[in-house]
Amino acid sequence: MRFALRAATAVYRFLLLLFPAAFRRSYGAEMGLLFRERCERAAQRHGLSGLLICALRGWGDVIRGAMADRLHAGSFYRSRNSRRGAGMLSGLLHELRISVRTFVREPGFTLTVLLTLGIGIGATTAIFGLVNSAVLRPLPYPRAGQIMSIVQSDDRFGLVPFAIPYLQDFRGRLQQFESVAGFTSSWSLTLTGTGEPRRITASYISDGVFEMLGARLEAGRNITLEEHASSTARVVLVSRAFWEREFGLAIPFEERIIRLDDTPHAIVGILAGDVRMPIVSSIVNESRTSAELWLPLATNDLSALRNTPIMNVIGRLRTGVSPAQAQAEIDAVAAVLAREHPQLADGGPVRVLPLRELVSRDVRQPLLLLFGAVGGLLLIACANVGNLLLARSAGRTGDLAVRVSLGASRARLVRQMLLESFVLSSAGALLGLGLAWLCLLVFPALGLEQLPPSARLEIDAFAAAFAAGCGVLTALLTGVVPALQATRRAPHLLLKEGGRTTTSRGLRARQTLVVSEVALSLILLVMAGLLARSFWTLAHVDAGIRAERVLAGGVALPASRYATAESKLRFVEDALTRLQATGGVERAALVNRLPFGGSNVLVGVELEGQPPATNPPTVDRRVVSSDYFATMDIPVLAGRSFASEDRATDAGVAIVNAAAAQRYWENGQALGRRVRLMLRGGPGPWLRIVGIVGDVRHHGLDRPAEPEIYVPYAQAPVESFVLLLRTARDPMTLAPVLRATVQALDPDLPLQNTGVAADAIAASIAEPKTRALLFNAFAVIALLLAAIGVYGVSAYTVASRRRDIGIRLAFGAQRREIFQLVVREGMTLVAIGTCIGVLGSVALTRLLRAQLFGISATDPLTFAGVTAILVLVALVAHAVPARRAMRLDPIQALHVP
Amino acid sequence: MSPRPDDRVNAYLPLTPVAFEILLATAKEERHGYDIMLAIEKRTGGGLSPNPGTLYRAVDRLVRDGLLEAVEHRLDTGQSRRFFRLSRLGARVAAAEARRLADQVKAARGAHLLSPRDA
Repeated sequence: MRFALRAATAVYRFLLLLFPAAFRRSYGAEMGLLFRERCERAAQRHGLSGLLICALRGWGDVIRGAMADRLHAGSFYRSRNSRRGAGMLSGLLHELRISVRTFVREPGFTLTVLLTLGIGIGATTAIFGLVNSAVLRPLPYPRAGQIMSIVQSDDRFGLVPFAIPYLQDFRGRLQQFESVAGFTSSWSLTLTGTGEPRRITASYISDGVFEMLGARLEAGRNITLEEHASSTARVVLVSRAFWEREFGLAIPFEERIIRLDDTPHAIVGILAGDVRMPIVSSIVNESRTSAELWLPLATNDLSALRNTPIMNVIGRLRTGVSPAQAQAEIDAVAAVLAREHPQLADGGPVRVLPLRELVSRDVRQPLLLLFGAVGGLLLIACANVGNLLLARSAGRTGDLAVRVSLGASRARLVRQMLLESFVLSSAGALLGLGLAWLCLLVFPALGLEQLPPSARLEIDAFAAAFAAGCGVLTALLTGVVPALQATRRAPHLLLKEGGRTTTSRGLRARQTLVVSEVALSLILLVMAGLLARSFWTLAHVDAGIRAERVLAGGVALPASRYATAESKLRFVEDALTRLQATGGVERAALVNRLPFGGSNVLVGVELEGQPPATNPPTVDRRVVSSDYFATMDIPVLAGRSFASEDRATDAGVAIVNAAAAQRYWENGQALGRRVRLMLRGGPGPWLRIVGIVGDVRHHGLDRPAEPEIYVPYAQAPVESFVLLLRTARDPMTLAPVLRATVQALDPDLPLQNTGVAADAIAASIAEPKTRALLFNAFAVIALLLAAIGVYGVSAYTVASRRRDIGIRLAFGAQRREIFQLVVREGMTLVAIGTCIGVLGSVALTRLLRAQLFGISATDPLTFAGVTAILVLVALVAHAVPARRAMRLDPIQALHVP
Repeated sequence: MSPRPDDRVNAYLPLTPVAFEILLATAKEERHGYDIMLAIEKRTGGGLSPNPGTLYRAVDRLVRDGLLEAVEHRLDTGQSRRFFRLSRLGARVAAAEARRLADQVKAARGAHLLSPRDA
């Protein structure tokens, strides 16, 4: 508070400079005191917000007063005498008008500067908007800083949630938390009875979740504590959007029954507004859509199982408790729990993390890097504008000299020039704000999906203030040097120089700017080049499947109608037989989880002949139909594929991938060996390995293939799976066929997420793609700006040395020599800039390392390539003025006064 | 030809509320800036609380026009503070403004815009 008060007063004292000096001398000190006293009183009464409001009022009062004083030099309290306008405009406003007028008279210059600044400020503000919403701003929950996430961190798979029964353990034992609550991320349920059957995203919640996240009921009632405790309470809360979509806009709330997974549920209430559940786990996060239905946690089918981690746990710290204290308590509790339930230890150590940190941890570093890049772009834009202003001020030396000799003080001239750059950068900032707003409209379309869903993308007051700050900063950066430069010399010197348009000092400043532009843009180019190459490598990794011609559509058989293995098997066999017989379908198959669909099921495995380990190795288990490998073009490396003879009643069989064979059996000799899977209900039957197939990078193109085991659907009929159709045509043309076939077999069965199977691969690398695209866009703009800067200085040098060149030509210099002279001088600057840029890149690309795949952060090819591009562009930028110099007519050149 | 005394007083009318309040606050005793602000806040029950910029700009103008007199006083703390008191001209202007306002109030009452209780 004391600091805020001091800062506010300091700003106030600074603003007092707007008043005439005489007024300031008489009253300035007392006004400062009075302001401070007022603010102190406001702070005592209303705290920090009171102080802020008081300070804003005080500042505004000074600005308004000073402007008014300068506008109406006459009396201000005699309203009869208030003579507005009428030649009384003076001071600031007068100068403001002069600068606006001069800019309007030079549209080319003004437009260039505005566009340069607009692009720089716009791009920076847009990225700041992203950073602000995703990393800086508190989450949209009440007292969000106190909300912690409790997770297990596993080395291999990142953060792991908990099985539902642990919630009661945590609640009973954690003392440092005011409250602890749990919820499953997104859960897909089939809605029937209201039109066509559909999959709806739901979340199972414990009591206290909404209280912690600040969600409000709009109508109806909340789920009661009794209902939360009962595993048979069929109640559900719905979102406003769901209610309006299913029942209509203007329908008032009343209790209604809907069928979810074939079970009637009563809608007991509607939640107000847009409830965004934080997505806190890297595994459960199957779909990124926000939940629209909320059900009691205890009614989840898996709520009694201790080996199924599906629940995110969040807790609010008691006031005054630090995350470190909470971590200490968790450590103790987890140690006790791990003794009672050994499987808890499988998930890795239990950690307490601020929810904010967890939600943004995946995007934090990439976004900050992007922000740094765009900041570099803004600096280049500033250098360019500074360059232009320097050239302009050099051209105005004569004009300035006249004003100085007529009695204008240096301070006044500096103020005038600073004001001009303020006018330019304010307009640039406004333009930039508009561009940023446009960018944020475009970003979602570009697929920046890594943003946490709790982040809201918008240009808020904070981002607008940021743009304004950028404007002020650019005004200072671009205005101060030219202003001081132009007014440094004594008036008689200025007058003498008036006719000429150059001074060595102005040139040196411009050369420095060019060197820094070249260096900065090289750094950006290198980063962009690295990301692009990395993405290219990533996109060309062999995924292990070829699915461009495969249509996928998800099906979930409701347990009520498909209770037995036979019923599920019958449906699947009917469906596959019918689909196989359809024209255009080459092969039909199914898999329980689509590759690259974002979800994998890891199960423990016991190898025959090896003692059962307390911590068994895990494999990725996929349930497939017999034609799966052919449909997805996964090669069978040894043994055989599944066949129709692998029936439910036969001895269990399995197929492993090459990675599993290599990891678990000597020399990969897996054929004929037997394994047993540790399933939810205990160890499954022994399975004989009949084949080895190629690896599929299910965990992401940037990760090595994990051990996998495939089992035939006939021997492990699961209720939800994805139907796959391979065709020679555009796969989407088969979508109606797939839908019709499923509907014909069961009219109440929805088909979900129909799409081309290969799209999932593209989606898995959408984020690095966007990042590489954005970086490259920035780098191209930076290169363009740098080229303009290089060209500007070169052209300026040539223009200022016309006489010199003319003399050389007159004395018989070859035109080729003149060309070489200009290019050589210019390229020396570029060479210096390039050296600095390369050094800077080596230092900075280390930050990118985590985001690069398959190439090193100092990849020599990238460095050499982008340097060559930069040098080439600079060469062209120099060649144009150099040609002009070469073609100079010595007579004309020497005639220039 | 110098204007008649009344003309000179009327030239300052009407006063802004802040200017009038400053003249009122300094009518009985001399006050410094902070004191003036407190007096205004007290008299108006917090309804008017001029920011320092507004206050001192008004004070400056009043001093320059001779409606206020400024006196430098050394405080016990050793600092010196500027005190302001109403000049004779200021007193006449304030009285004229008060009469002007009273006349307007009378007119408002005549038009039944004010109930007797509002008096």
